Amino acid sequence: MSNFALLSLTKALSETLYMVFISSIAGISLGLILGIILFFTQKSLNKRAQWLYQMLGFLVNVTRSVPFIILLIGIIPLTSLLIGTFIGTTAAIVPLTIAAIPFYARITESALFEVPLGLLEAAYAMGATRLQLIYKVLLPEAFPALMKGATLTMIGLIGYSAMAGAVGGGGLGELAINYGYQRFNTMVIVETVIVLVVLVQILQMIGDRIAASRHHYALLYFILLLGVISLLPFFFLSLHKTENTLRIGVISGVSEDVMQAAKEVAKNRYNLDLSMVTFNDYTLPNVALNDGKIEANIFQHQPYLDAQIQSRGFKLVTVAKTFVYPIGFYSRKIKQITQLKQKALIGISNDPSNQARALLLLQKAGLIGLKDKGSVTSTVQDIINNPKQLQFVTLDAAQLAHALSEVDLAAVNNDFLSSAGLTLSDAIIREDKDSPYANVMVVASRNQDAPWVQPLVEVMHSPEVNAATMQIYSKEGAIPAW
Amino acid sequence: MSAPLLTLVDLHKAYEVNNTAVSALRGIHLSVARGAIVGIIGKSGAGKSTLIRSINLLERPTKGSVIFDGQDLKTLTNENLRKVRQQMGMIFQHFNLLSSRTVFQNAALPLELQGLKKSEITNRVMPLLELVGLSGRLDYFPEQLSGGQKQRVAIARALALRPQLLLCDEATSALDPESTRAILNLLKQINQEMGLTIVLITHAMDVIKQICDQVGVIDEGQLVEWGEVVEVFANPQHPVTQRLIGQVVQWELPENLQPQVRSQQTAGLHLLVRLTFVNNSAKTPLISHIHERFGVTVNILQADLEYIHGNSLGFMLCQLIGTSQDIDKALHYLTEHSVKSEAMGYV
Repeated sequence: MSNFALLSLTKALSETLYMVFISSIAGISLGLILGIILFFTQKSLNKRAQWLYQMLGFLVNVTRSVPFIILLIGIIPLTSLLIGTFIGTTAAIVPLTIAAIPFYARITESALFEVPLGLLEAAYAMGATRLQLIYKVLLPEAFPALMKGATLTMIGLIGYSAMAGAVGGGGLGELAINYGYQRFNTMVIVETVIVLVVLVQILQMIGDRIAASRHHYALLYFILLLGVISLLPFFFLSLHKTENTLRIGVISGVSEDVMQAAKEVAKNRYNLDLSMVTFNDYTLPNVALNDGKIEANIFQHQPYLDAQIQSRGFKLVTVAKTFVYPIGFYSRKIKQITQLKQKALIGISNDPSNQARALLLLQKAGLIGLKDKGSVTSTVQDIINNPKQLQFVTLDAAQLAHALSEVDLAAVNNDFLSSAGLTLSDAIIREDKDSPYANVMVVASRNQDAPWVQPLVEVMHSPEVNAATMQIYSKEGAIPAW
Repeated sequence: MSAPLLTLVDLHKAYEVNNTAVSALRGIHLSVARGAIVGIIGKSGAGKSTLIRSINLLERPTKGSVIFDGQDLKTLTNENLRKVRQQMGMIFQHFNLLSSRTVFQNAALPLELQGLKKSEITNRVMPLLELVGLSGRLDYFPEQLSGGQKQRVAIARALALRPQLLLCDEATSALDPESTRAILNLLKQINQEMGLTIVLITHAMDVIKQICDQVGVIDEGQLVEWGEVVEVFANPQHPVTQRLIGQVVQWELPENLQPQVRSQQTAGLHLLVRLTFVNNSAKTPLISHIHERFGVTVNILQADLEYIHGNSLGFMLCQLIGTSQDIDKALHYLTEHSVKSEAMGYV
């Protein structure tokens, strides 16, 4: 087990290094060029180019003010165009680079601004061209500040790379969030944080040392070369890997453990290579599937898929049912439903289908009444009868287990149960075995008849996967639906 | 006499500061002969900094032309202008050395920009650093050098391209008197040994006195005085020139004397004159001649003798005591011997 932890830690570390390193090199190079343009178009040096300065400055400021997670999602089309996919470690490099460019451009601009104008004058007086001025005078003179800024940028990118988990980028941040935070595994959190601290310290030390060195070029080239050489194989590997492999999208958390079992069965019995792409939210797995970035996903039930297809126009189709994971209402404050107070605070999911599912269950328990007896599209607004005057707060599905300390009652999906230290038997109310909410395996419509679909279904229905599922979800936590 | 190396014709420069036009140069005409050391002096804000930057077009004149070695610089393409700039070295008040480069690398920079081979660069830089006396400090960084040493590096750098003209922008203003003297001697030496033409700007008359052949005085963007240094010292016309000369020679009335000077003669007062001696007249005992031949007693209140380029230049403030006819004769005698005399009043 500790061997596994070490393995995932080194894997996450190399993913982080890879993402941060490549995006740093790209972001710093492009930011440097942009910063030089900003410097030469500033008012004191060029009155006629003010429009350019204003325009670039505005672009830089806009990009810098967009929160990274929004940027990450917002530039998905660009990422797909450049890398061919918007998920995975390599794809995460694009948003990281975009985030680094304006930051480093401003650092460059102010670093060059610190070079005495007299040096520019001296260089022009000795007949230097603009280009010579830049690489013979400005850059060497500003080198210590540029280098310190580069270190700052790299460390900032390490922070940003933690969010790369949202697009399956992996890395230390994802490890800490998905395995540590969401599964209440303090050990993993502490380990990853220690690795991050050490990483940042080392980077800062190297950066400071280069900045103080007089032989900056030789040192910088040496380190760049070393970095690129050590990371190149990784890069080609990550591009190559996607070719003969079926990429299965799952939600990070315990589903990953089930997929580990599925991977072995697929390899041994059907000679299929499965690779797992993990997501943190419930929207991107369908987007990725629709765009052909993954071949299948297993995370949703039919009502949710139907709602997504209807609202987003996805061309997706269900090829098999997997398990019913009965949803339940849990509490850390009461033991029985009869103890529920007036005006109690109820946490339910904010995605439409899980919200309807929770409301239907509350209706079944006689706590509320829904308009037209409720449907898979019911929302909090459809509550027409609420004798206990219950208050509802809607949260991200992954957050509901954490919110148990704050609310009186929360609907928690099975995925997040074991990580919160709960079992289905703790549920105060829960669904029956006849729930319409069986999870499904979904593929793109165009792949419906692909040769790998049937083997994949058989893998997911195999005794091994069944056994693994039963081990992870306590008895009754998962019910085979085929 | 050959054509001048540099000619400035009706040079104007106007800036816009907060939407109001400010004239820094207002019609400067100037000619610099090959091999000369020309000094431009003026108070701060007079336009001398703009003037020297106009010569290599670091500042582009709004009107007029800069003719260097027969070429009108304003008509040149950027490419050709860069080539011309390589013919002009420039040194600065604050040296403008690259802090990231050693002494050797700083001096080598212009040659690197030319793409010269390493061995060629070494061959050219080493004698220059020898010349400026820094061959023992090749690997020092500017921060490890004194001001005078930094300026020596800058001079070596400016000479690396073997220019015809050296522009000095307040090159000694940031230096102590001793370093100033040493740097000026070095410039003089370079001028004599290499025949390098030098144009320098300064606010210190001392600098002009020490090394310049010609001096121009600039005030409010105009050249108000121009001539051989000795002549300008001996016979300054413009008030600004006179004040500037007062910086270095005892030329003006001492302050304690000024209130006592009367413009009308009354009993007990004697004529106060300023005598200016140039060269031989400074070496002839004219004062004793006046006494012996005309019976005029000379009471010296103040005297100063300067040597400028091997010319001796003397200034004397004295009372002449005697009859007015004798004094007239004495003054006539002095004029005959090339001594300029100015009546300053009676005291």
